[in-house]
Amino acid sequence: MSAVTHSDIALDVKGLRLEAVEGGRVLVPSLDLQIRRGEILGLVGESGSGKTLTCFGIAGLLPTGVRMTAGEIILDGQRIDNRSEKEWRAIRGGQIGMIFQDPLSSFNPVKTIGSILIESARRHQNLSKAEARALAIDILKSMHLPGSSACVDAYPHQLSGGQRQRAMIGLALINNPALLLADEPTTALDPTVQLQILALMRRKVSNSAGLMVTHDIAAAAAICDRLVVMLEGQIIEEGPTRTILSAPQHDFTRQLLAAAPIGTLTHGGGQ
Amino acid sequence: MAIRKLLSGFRDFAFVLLATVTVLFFLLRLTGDPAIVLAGEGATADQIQAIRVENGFDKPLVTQFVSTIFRLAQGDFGKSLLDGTPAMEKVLAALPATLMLAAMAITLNLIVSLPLGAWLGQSQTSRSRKPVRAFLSVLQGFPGFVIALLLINLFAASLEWLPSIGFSGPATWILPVVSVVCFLAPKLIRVVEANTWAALNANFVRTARSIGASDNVILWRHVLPNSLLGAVALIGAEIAFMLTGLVVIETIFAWPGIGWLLVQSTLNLDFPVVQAVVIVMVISVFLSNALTEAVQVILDPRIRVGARADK
Amino acid sequence: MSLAKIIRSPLLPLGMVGVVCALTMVLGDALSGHDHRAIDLTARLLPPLSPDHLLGTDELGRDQLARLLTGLRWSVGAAFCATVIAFCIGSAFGILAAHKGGILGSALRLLTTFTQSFPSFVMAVTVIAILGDSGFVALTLTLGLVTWPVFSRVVYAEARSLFQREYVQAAEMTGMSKMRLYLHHVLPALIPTLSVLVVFHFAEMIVAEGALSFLGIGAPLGAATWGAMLSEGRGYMLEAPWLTLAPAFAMVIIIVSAHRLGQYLRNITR
Repeated sequence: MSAVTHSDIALDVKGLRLEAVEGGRVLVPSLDLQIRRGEILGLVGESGSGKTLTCFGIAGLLPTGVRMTAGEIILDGQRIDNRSEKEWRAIRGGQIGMIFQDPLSSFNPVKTIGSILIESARRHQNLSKAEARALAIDILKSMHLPGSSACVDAYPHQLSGGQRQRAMIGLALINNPALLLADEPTTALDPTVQLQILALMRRKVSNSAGLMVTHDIAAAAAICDRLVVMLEGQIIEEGPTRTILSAPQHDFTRQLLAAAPIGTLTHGGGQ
Repeated sequence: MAIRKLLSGFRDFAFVLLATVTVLFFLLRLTGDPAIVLAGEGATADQIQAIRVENGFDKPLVTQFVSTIFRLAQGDFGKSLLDGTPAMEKVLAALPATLMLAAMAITLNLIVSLPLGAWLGQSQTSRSRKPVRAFLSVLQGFPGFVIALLLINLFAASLEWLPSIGFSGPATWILPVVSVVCFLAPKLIRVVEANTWAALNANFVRTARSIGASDNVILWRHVLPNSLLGAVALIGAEIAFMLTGLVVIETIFAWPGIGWLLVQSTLNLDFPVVQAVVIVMVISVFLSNALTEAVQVILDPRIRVGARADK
Repeated sequence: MSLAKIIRSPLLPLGMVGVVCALTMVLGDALSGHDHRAIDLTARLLPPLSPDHLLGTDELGRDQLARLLTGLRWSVGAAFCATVIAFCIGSAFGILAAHKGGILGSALRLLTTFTQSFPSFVMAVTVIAILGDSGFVALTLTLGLVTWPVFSRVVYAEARSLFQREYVQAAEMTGMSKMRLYLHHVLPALIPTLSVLVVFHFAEMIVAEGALSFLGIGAPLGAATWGAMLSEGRGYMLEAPWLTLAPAFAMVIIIVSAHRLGQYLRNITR
């Protein structure tokens, strides 16, 4: 691996260990990850492999019942895993933006799309209500949402799945985070919409770093520069997307590739 | 769409009202001979017959029924068989007492149940909540009138702190209101608790957390609006219940509302008053149900605004 | 099942209540050793734990325990019979309406709207008055006839989706009789919901019976029903609070037990 200067690395995870609180079962024994600025890393594996837990662990959002017992998470050269809950709240939404799997249930059904964007913008930037609203409209516009000014006042059920996920990406990026975490961002969407959403994410992550968690290796291949394959809490293979697609080393990776629909494996990352 | 809904609402209302009048008419005629009641004790057969003719009780039932409908349609609810006052006048005089009891009870119920339910809904395992849950599940087993009797037993008879019956100033309001609330609150608390728990574990809470919202903000701005919305239906049902279901509690406390009037006039076979009470009850329940539905539509954007056309 | 497991089971207290109920209903006065009607003016308003009168006596010197047990027989019996009547009419109507739809379906919808706004107390009082005497039969018939739409509403909703299911449609296509279809293929699928509903309805009926006899409707004059005992005890709240407390708590124990059983059934059938 070429010499990487310290400032190039956006996210550095060292020896992350996750355990269940009750019974102390080890879910992720020790995991190392590095993501450079402008790079999207694909974390691929089947359900239960610990990839989603890793993603939530990086954002300090582990579900009750799971604990981080060892390791370091370093974001932009600063260690964040030992911060207080108050400092974490400034990081989440500010330095780390998140995109979730199901865009319908991830929005509050009784609040407008705009209200949560405005709340996030005002929480992390010193903005008036009107400024935050203008920013929300701007960001929705840049997500290519038709009728952005109307979308601000729309309720989640009024948008289509793809529109909701665009709004969700807008929410994640509204404060220009250094890191974008995406947990299965396209799983709940139609195939044609999936490609649009992936292309949008690829374009928007250019000046920050991205981590995309997915079981769909084709989706990961479409936008990720590098892939990390996880099995039972451990990394079994990692490398540039092109290399992994053309010469997978591990049996499990080959199985994943074989299960992907023919013709969908195009490497779109890396520019 | 809205107009069709309004029309079907009116149709239902008309049906329920007509059915009420019909059922009441035949039920009440079957229960006994009103002329005998009207004549009082020790009346001769001739006197009873005279009253029968005077009130039209001697005509065939169908004729009586049709003329009853016509008179009701004109707003003539007849006169009380006991003292000759217009029946509707008696009911309207009793209505404020019931509305007052219902209003006080629902207010206190909301004040107690919403915070308590929200608090309980925040944890399913905490130790401090366990005794509260146990208490509520036992309280739920107490029928309203039994609660009323026990409260009278304690606060009015034994401790002599409060008057047990009557309707004369705030001191007499406490026991009836508390009885009703003890009966209604466990159900509402349970629903608010379940809704709060469900909302707290919904995906959108994770989204709120991901933008850095604190637990307090999440509870107040993201969870409670949802859980209260889910409680609107039950609150509406509890209001509707209080408009018809306080019969026994009003009787125990000699609270001069429509429930009490209903018992008195039913036991006295005072048909016109029973009829007027029931009609007023049916109308108010219908109105309260319609109001509940309207509130739900206003509060819930999923019902209020349809999906966008350019989907 | 080990003894420890039985002791910790949530069904143990329920079982005990059930056994007491069953014993009382079979044995009656023999259990308390007194005739519940025996008046003894020399032993009026004795407090509980008096020799010979475990729960004391009322204003006429009648044994409170004997009256309580007689009341249990009456209340539980009436609530049980009323529930059975409501269950039978309600589920039959619900299944029929769900299968035939059309007029029966709309009739059920209107009927539900009607019963929700019509005060059931009026209905109960008038039906009892029409039947002419305040007795067990009149009471149970009334409660059953007034409350059956509760069952038909739930059965209708569930059965309607059931008739769309393939296995029910397949059974229907074999040309079996309607009765057989309903009893062997539709009703069994409704049992989880219905069993919970039956138990909660039973609790409701205990309350309704108590309220009616408290108002002096339903039970014959002077009968030892819990409602009547509560009503008579009101006059002696200061001198003899146990006259109201005993029937009140008896009623609550039965209702809480029924609620517990209902919750238990709901949990295991879910």
